[in-house]
Parts: sequence; C-alpha cells; structure tokens
Amino acid sequence: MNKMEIIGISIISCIIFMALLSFGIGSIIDFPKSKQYSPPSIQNPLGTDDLGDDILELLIIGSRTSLLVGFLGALFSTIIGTIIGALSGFFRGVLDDVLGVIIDVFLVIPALPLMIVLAAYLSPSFWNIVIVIGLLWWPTTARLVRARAWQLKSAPFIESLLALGASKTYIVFKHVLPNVLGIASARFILSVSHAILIEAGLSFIGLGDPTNPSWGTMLHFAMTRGALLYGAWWTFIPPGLAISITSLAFIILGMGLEQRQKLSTRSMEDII
Amino acid sequence: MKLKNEPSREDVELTAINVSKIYGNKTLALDRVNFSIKKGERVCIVGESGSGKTTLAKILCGMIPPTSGEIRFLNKRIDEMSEMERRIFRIKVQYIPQLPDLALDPTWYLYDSLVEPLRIHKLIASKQEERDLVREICEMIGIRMEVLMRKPGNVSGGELQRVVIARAILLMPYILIADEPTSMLDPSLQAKIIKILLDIQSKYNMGMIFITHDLELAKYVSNRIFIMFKGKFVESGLTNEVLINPHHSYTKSLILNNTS
Amino acid sequence: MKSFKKSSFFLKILRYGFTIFIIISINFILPRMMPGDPLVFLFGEEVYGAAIRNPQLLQSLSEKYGLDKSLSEQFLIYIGNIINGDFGQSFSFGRSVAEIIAERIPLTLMLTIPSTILSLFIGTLLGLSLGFNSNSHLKRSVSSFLIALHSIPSYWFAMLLLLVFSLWLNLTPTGGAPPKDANIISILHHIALPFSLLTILNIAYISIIIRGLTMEIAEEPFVMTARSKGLSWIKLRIRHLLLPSLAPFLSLAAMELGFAFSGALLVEIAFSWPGIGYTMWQAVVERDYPLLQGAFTAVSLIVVLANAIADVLSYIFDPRIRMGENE
Repeated sequence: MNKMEIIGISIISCIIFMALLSFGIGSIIDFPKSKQYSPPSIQNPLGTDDLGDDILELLIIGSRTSLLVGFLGALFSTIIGTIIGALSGFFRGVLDDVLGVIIDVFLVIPALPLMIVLAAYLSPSFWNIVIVIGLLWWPTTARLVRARAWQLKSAPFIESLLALGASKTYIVFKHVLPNVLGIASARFILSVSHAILIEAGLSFIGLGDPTNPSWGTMLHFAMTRGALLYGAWWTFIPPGLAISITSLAFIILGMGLEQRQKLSTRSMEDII
Repeated sequence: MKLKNEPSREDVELTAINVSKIYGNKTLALDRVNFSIKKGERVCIVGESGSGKTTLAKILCGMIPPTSGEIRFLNKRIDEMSEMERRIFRIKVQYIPQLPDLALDPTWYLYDSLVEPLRIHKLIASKQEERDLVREICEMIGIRMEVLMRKPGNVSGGELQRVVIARAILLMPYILIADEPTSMLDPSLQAKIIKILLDIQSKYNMGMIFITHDLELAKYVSNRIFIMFKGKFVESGLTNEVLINPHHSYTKSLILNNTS
Repeated sequence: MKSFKKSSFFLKILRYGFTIFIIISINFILPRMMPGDPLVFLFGEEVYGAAIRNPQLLQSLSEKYGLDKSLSEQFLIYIGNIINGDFGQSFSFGRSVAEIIAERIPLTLMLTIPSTILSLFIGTLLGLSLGFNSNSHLKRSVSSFLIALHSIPSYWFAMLLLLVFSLWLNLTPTGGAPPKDANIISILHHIALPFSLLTILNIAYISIIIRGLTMEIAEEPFVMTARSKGLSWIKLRIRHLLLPSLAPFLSLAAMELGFAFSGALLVEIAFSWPGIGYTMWQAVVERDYPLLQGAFTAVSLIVVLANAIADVLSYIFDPRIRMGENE
C-alpha cells in the first residue's frame, strides 16, 4: 500500500464508522433537542438547526445516505460503463459503432442538468437517486474501458489465443475482463467520489429523499430556511466539510490505486 | 502426447501459394508470395521492418486471412478444413510473437498461461501429467519453476521470452514460426535463446521459420533463405549460395549494410 | 488521407446533430414515459385539475399537443413546435418558456463567458508551469490543492463566501442580480462573488488537465532534445507545446465551457443569480416541468454548440496539417 491509499482508507474508515454509528442513535447514543439555532455548546457540540435538532446527530444520520448512495450509484455506473466499454472495444463492427456513438453522445450532453431533469420526473427517493446516477454517470468509464479493451484486442496474447481457436466468449471472460478490472476498480473509487458530490448536489436542489436526509439535504435546508442569512454557520459548515473530506478521500484512494496501475505497466516497459 | 488422427510425421508441409494481402486502406502488404517449408527444415525470411514478413508469418499460422491465394497444410487448404483438421493445424503450427510485452496475459500467472493451450484443446488427461510435461519442457528451455509462479510484470524479458517459447513447444508443433524472437533482448541473451530454439528444432525435427532483419543470424541458423522487399520475395535459395552470390540489387545492399 | 480526415470531420458534425436529436427525444419521452397522465407534466397540477373538471379545456389542450394521436405523430408535432420556438408554457410564471429562457440566458453568459476566458488564460499558464519539472515540492502541493478543490461542492463554497463577505464583512450583497438600470459599479458589486468562485473552480479544472497534457508531452523525446539543446523555456513551451496542442486545447476550451455551464448552475442557485441554473432550481421547486425542460434544452444546446464550434476551429487550425507543410 502506498501513502495515498493509506490516507484514503483511514478517512473512509472513519466515515463508515460514523455511518454505522447512525444505527445506534436513540438507543446507544442520544442527542438532546434544544432551541432554534443554538450555537455550539457542551450540550450540542455542533449547535442546532432551525428546528432545534442537533447538527451532529443530523451529520451522523446524513453520512449513511451520502455514503450508500455514493457507493451504489458508483457501483451501477461502473458496471454499466465496464460492460458497454468492454463490448464496444472488443467486438468491432456494428456493435462498436452503435455503442461508440451512444458513448460520444452522452459524453457531450451535460450530465448534471440531465440528472436534475430525470430526478425531477422520478419521485424523490433513495433508489431513484441511485438509478439516476447509475444511468447517467457511466460514459467516462465506458470510454476508458473501451480504450483499454481496444488495446487488448490487438495484444499478441489475444491474437495467439484466437489463432489457437479459443472462443470469443472465453477470451472476453477469462482475459479481457480481468485486464480491464484494474481500470474499472480505479474508476469505481473515483466514481464514488463523484456520486457523493452528485447526490449532495441533487439534494441541495431539493431532489433528495426526504425520508433519508443526507449531508446535501442539510445544505438544502440551511439555504432555503434562512440559516445562512441568520449567520448560523454551524448548520452548514459541518455537512459541507463532510462532503468535501469524504469525496476527497475517495479521490486520494483512487489516485493511489491508479498510481499502482501505472507502476505495474511502467515496470513492464522497463523490462523490455 | 498423440492426437487422434495424427498424420504420419514425414509428409508435413506448410505452403503458401500466390498469397497477397491488402490492408483496409489499400496498402499492399504482400504481393503474390510463394513459400513452403517441410519438417526438419530451417528457413529464414529476411527483410526490413514493414517489408511484410510479419504479415506473412501471421497468415501462415492462420492468424489473419490472406486477401487472395491459399495456405495449405498437409495438402489441404486451411480455409477448407474440417473442424478436426483445423484443430490439428492450430496445434501443429505455432507462432512465437515478436514482442514479449503482452505476449502473455499480464493478469495471469505464467504457469496458467503456459498450460492454457493444452487446456483449451484438452490435450492432457491429468494434473500430474500436465505438471510432468511442464517440468520436462522447462528443464530443456532453462526456466526455473518458481518463475512460473509469477506474473509477466515480475519477470525479466529473457524469462518471459522463454515461457513464450515453452508455451509453443508444449504443443509439439511440426512447424514453428519465430518472429524476431530475440530483437527485444540484449545480445548475450539473444545467443542463448537462439541456441535453445535450434536445439529444440533438431531434437523434435521441427520445421522452423525464423523471421529476422539480421543477415548474420540468418547465416547462422538457416539452410534456406528468402529475401523480402516491399511485400515480395526478391530472392530465395540455399542460404550460403544466396549470401555469397546475390543476384538482386536489394540483397547486395543488405549484405553491404550488414558488413559495414 | 485528407479526404479521410474530412469525412471523419463531417461524421463528427453529424454526431452533434444526432446529439441534439437525442436531447429533444429525451424531453419528449420523459413526460410520456412516467406513470400518470402526461398532462400533469405538461400543464402542472392546477391546470390539470381544472382541465379534468372542464372536458372542453381538456379537449383543446390535448389537441394542441396532439395527445390523442399516435406517439410518432405527437413527436412530429413536438419537433414542429420546437422549430417554431415553442417550448410550452411555464405554469409557475404563466408565461412562455422561450421568453423566460431568452431573458435569462444573457445573465448566465455574462457570468460564464468572461469567467471561461479568464480561467482558460490563467489555468493554461498555471498548468504549463505545474507540468514541467512536476516533481518539485511546491508544484506538487499546488497541484494537490487544485485537485482538492474538485471535491468541494461549489454551492457550499458559495455559502462560505456569502457568510464571510456579505454577512460578516458586509462587502457584497447576499445574492441576486443587479437591478435592470444598474450602473457598472452595481453590476460589478453583484457579480463579484459568483464570478470569482466560478473562475477559481474553472482554473482548478483547466490547470489540472493542462498539467496532465504537459507532463505527457514533456516526456516525449523531441522536448527532451529541445531542452538539451538549451532552447529557452518560453520558446520551448510555445513551439513544442502550445502549437501542437492547439487543437486539443480548443476542444478543451469547449469541454470547459460545458463544465462551466454545469458548474455555474449550482453556483447561480447559491447566489440567487437568475440565470439558467437558478431557473432550473425554480422549476424544480415548483415542479414546473416545461420550464425545467426548456432550461435543460438551452444548456445542452449551448454545450453542444460550443463543442461543435471547437471542432470546426480545430479543423481549420489543425497544426498537424500546418506542421506537415513546414517540414
């Protein structure tokens, strides 16, 4: 493990711990309600919001949704992107042409506005946000995986397997997928970071799941219910900081993984 | 290791008749080439990069189809073979690629890559038999067994090239096509690898095609030589005769460049 | 070779046409695909409620959008309406969507275009200098900082700026656009925060991309040779970096405009800057679907157009052709 991976994983572990803690609220830990917009105190370490709810409590509850939506949205988008990319890269011809055009078209259409429109039509719920991210955040992954699969297609070991008479299905599953897995997993980690930011953005706009408040939801209320104009900075600094740190942790981890990939191919070049 | 319907070993011949290859954007890579090799022969195809020698090699082992002309193996056109005959062709004509880079799947252990062709064609009855065969071949080629427990990224170029050779030899081919097998290695390793290939050739009485741009190497390894220039054979014959008494101006310039 | 280039160029342009077609199709399909009566999405709850009680109104509305016809006919009517500039009625504003969008696009452009130009300029210089000798400590920490900026939500950043500059220091207004008859001072006063924030984010985005490109090119043999020959930094950067990367640079600029637009959406919302992004937000709050779709179409068209222009420009200025002539 390199330094970046260690930093990333430590921060992410803390956030996961926080998310697990949310299940204990009400039984193991309890946060007292207080009056509207109380600043941080011993009783409410991060103060309270307009309803007198404890910010730390909301922060812990929000970590669950933010993390889960980020994780699941990234998972779906990576799976879709990897499959489309691998198929399009490995099977040339009509299939590649069609998938290639689809990838290009969705790379040009600005993703966030389209997500806003789609989320506005679907009723705001946890799974609908996951679906919106999964359906619309795959094109970059697909493009990267496709480029890799394209490269593999003319790799000597694939050519020799074809000459040996190995079937294409065998090659795709035994050789192409393992070889794009490195890129796909690095992309997945980066996508978690993006998905957390997207979820926060959608919730900030007011498209979040009202029954599963996230960090973005907290920012939404701070904006729309006047906490900002009241100057209650403790209501919106913690969730924004949480989003930034978590998203950054995944970026750092992703870059660490990517570096490892580069190193392995680099040492490959050094041999020859 | 014997295959069902394995042909008697003496009449093996791989032939290219009037083979041309045109790539998509109308570049003529091969222009009506005739070529043949029998078991036990050592043949060199010499040419500069881009002369079409790798294209010919890939067509000879069935990796890419020719645009026109035919490839015959055991007196049968390879595009008209039955499944059974085609399987024998795929096993008995083997190609060693030019670059050790990506010659084997970087995510696989070398052992698995090595025995993969055997497994694809279900040539081995038991794990024990497989291991014995691998041990025998590796000893002959000089591969330490612990190397096979690594992935391609963690071994040297020389070791990788040996595994690639072993992978082809495991199938006991009649015809082995080695495409610049040493061009990416340093000189001391080159000599070792060439010696291994020659030893194997004589031990199993294979037909071996060396593809190279190096006339010195050609002189050392081959009985017959083909000089390729811009997709055509400009000269061919016994190696000694061609190199001592070249007719074509291109051959002469090659010899001049090589000695200088 | 040249004819091949040309045909791939036209294919690209054709692809943009196809992209627009897809955008329009998405807009057409969404209200009709969702569960419930598409009339709700087209006219809003209120009108829909009234229409259900008034069969005649329902009839006339259905006819106008051809909802009683087959889907393919509806699609043709829909495209016809769009070509005539009819994006429907916004039911929260009670005005035509096209009118509202036309009013608000200039405010978004006022924010994004100067910001894009400025950040392309600064971001490129910053990226170039970060990409050369990228291993120095200072440069690596600057790069890390710029990458870290990517994970900060823009609207939250905006809230922090408002807190500091508007609430605590009382230097800027708490949001909104300048009044119609505002003088230049007032305009600058209002635009300062959103403009600065957008520009900072854009610079972070561009400089990281340019840095990556530079690091790739800096490792190429010809740059190494040029450096060993003692070519001055400035000359080296211009001759070997800027010229050959003019075409990718232009497409970067176009992509960047797309990014700036998407980014501007959320920044606008936080600053209540009534451009397209703020309009989308208002539409979401009111569930005003025609307005939402109109805003989405406008943003997408601008982004597609920017990409297409960049492709045309990089085709005209393609340095590979020009360099081929020089040699």
